Amino acid sequence: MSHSHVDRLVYMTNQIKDYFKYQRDADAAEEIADHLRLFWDPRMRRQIIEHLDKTGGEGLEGPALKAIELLRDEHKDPEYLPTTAKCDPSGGREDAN
Amino acid sequence: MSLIQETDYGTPRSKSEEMVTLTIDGVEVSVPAGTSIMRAAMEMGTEIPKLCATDMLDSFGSCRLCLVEIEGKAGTPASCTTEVGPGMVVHTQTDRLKRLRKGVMELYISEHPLDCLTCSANGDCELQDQAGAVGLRDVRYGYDGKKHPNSGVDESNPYFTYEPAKCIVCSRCVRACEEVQGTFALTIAGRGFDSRVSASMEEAFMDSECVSCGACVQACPTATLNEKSVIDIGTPEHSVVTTCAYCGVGCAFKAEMRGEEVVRMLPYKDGKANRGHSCVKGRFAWGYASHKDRITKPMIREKVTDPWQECSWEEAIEFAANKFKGIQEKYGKGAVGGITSSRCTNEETYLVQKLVRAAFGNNNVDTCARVCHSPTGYGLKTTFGTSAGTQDFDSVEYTDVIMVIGANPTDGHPVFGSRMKKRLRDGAKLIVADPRKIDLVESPHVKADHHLQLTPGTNVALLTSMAHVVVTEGLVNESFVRERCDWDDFQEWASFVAEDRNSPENMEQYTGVPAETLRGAARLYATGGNAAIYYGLGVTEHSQGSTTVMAIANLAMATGNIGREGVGVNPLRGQNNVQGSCDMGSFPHELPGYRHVSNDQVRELFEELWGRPVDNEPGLRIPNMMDAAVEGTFKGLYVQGEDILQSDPDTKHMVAGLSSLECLIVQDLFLIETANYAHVFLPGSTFLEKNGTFTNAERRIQPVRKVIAPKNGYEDWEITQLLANALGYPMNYSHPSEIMDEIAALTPTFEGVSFDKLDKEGSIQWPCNEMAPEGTPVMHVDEFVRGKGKFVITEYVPTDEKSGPRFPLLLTTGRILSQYNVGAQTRRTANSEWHEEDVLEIHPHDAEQRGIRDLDWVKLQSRSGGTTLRAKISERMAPGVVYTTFHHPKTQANVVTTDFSDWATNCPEYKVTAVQVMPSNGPSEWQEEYDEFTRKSRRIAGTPEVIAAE
Ligand code: SF4
Ligand code: SF4
Ligand code: SF4
Ligand code: FES
Repeated sequence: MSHSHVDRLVYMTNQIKDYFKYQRDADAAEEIADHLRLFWDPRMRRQIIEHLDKTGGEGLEGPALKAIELLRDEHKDPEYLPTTAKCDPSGGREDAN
Repeated sequence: MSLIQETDYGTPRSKSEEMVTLTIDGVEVSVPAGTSIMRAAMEMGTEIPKLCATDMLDSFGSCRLCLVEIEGKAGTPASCTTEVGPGMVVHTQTDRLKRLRKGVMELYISEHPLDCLTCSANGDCELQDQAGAVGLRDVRYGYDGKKHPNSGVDESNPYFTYEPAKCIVCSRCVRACEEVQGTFALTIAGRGFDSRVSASMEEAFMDSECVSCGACVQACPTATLNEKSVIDIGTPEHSVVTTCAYCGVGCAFKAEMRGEEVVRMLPYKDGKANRGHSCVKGRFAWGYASHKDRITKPMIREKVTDPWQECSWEEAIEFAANKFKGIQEKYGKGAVGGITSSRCTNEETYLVQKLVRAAFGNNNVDTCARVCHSPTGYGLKTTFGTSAGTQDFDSVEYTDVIMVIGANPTDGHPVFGSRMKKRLRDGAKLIVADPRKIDLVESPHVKADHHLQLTPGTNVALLTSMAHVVVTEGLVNESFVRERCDWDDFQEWASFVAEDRNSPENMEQYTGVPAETLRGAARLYATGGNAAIYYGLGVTEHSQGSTTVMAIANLAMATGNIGREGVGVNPLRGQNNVQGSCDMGSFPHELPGYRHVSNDQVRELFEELWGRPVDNEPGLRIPNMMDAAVEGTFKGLYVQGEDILQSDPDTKHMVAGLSSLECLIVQDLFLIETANYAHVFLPGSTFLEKNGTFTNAERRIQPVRKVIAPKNGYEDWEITQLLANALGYPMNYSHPSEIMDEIAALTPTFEGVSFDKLDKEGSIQWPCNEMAPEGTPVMHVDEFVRGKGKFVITEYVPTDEKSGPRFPLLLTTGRILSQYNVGAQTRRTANSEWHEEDVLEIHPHDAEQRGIRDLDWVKLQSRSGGTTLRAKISERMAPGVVYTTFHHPKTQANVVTTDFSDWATNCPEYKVTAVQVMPSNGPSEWQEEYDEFTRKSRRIAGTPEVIAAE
């Protein structure tokens, strides 16, 4: 089974959503967006934003769609890319190691 | 340099804290209670003659050579079996003792062939030594005892021989196999003069249960069991302590040498990971270093269809650098990247990521750890705050309940598996969660209390239902949770797991594990005393891999099993330096020490020392690199010591990616599968040929020491350095110790680490810094690294890879003892005698339905692709589940695996693929095409012989 590239990004985003939507204390869309900021290369983020622009986010489910909208709003200017994640999986002590 | 002789204290160290004082030969000595007189004497430097005792084994008391006199006691007790007592007065040398010992020795020698001068153990024989020690000068019974007629030699094992004529029946081998290795392959058969050591039912070693760990050979005081390499070469004259380059256990070895030739690798007793034990790989399988397939000259070519051209190092490096510069000019600086290796040293790995971040100017660096333990990093960092296991291996000695999930330690981590089995024989309880009936479930003197034989892909369901039992049956360690964990998170988690849908009764439909069995296991884990979880790739290599790691962490926190000896969460790392390569900043989003590239302060530190800006955005992971390559935005890749084509999932996608590259640089020992698509081949060096450090699964940093000059001319770090310089980024290290100094300067957890310190201490477990100058055996003792432990909700989300009418079976993959990873090294040793090919294990029921007989060729087909291999009918699998290994390129098991991966880290879902199996009569079309392509791609211009595709 091989996904086309953008399908794969959509699939991955939905998978991430399937984790965060169950975390009760968190805003799932914000957490998903943050995960993408932390782990995705900018060209992947750009591609999924393009997908959102082109198709309205086909295939993106619930908070996953909202997360990509958040990312898009952040960089209306296509050259701008946020550098620092809003939240941090290590609970704010990422240098603890 | 000389031969390192480790002191043999005769009996193991006592763990007692109570001290006992006695007098030996007029000298007062204090030792822990429970110590033998023999050991107490040796601690003060007095060696009592001995034959059947050695400190790796419990005392046995059979040879009667170690007799002593104790004032006020009648007779002459054996010092190896007699414990010290307060105020005891012991004499180790009196006329009576001398006489008795000579008598004993005389009997031994009269039974022993006296061909000492031509014996392979001449000079390394305890019988000789002890004859000298007791002053034996003549033998009244003559020298023609019953054993002298040549009773043959068993040479069936590829690495050692067994020559019964030389056996003194001390049982050390038998006991080593039982106590140290835990295989119970040997017995003493026959009686009196006829008694002899026998492998299993008087079989040849190779046909017996023996797993060739070498413990018996090491224990044997004579030449009866002897390494073939010693017989061929002679006894060694100097030795160097180094670390095994195979698995994440990280066994310390003495490389025993004669000149520049390795004579043998002997496990080092002071090695804190292995405590003097080894497995067949580290002990014997190092011959690949001089295998004829090894490439030692650099090679280049314009197109992958061209034959390779050998060239000088300068030419190869210039060729590679020009290509990379050209690609970056044309497609942008993000169009190239690098892959670090979990087989290389920390220093080498660090240098590759530095090359990528500083010289390439992007963060496109990833590691083969991506495909194994990246979920461990994510999961443990989220819950505990640090990306590593919590314990040292010694900790298992204090464990009461061992839970093994998705790991097969007796095959994957054999030396730790043996230590685990020892603890189990001593009374610890065992829970195994695995779709297969792995050896631990039932082996000599070990039986799992619970085997949770779950359907592949349902780990989260299983662990969440265990948590359900813990919470709903009131088994939570509330005081621990209140003190150490985030209480709000806990409450939310507890109410989630307590929901009825998470009960074992409900989850049984997914896991296939009977609810009552699961409840029993959960109760045992929560209430059985110190409970420790050990897990492997059966946890991580799933679409919910990271969630599973967090579910494990939740369970450990809820029951208070964290932060002391005997408990904890312990990932068993696959390759030797998986831990290290992750620590060293091999992931595209993290600098060394797991610090995110977006952290300005951290980046500044690196930028200042490196003199180049560091990108603040995460780079591409391996699968994303391949996507980008297919798409045309990624064009150049430098791969050090890793066969991504064979080890990564969905081979066809990988092939598409690799063949889209304009320049692929492969640095390796052999023309591995990935090299088929390479334009530059830089020959690498083996662990015997370099200095550096590896970090094992316990976070233990251990030295790797050069014993021979690199056959290819350079250590691997030097090659990276050449490449950096050619790219215009200066690197001028003259020794890996300087690289470690840089790592220590930039990474808080490594602050106190240096080669000098490693030389002194032998090894160091990170974190090692001002707060923990000696390193840290057990983590999270008073506080979690992240502060409060974080409970995470672990909703079970079934994988999208589902069996159905077309693909009704589930395939899961793994490894076996004698082979290692993609097998590039082990296949080039005699280890292949144990595992010539990958086979498909299938349950008799599934086989019969398909008309498949044992050893038939079968076709294994998934949605991704198909391959053929032989079937092995086995009840180790549950019906509906099939299993194979991925050690052989011919099988290309990863043609079958899919591109599904862990949601958080993209670690591929190797452990679940829906497949169909059907009879077949030979290799698939893909295999044939691939063989032909491989043959072409491996041609070397001017070399008549084509290196055969394997
Ligand atoms: S090599 Fe290991 S497994 Fe084999 S007989 Fe010796 S101790 Fe036992
Ligand atoms: S083979 Fe060696 S270790 Fe085993 S009983 Fe004989 S002499 Fe002792
Ligand atoms: S492969 Fe692993 S268990 Fe075997 S000797 Fe090497 S480090 Fe030890
Ligand atoms: S060494 Fe003590 S009886 Fe053999």
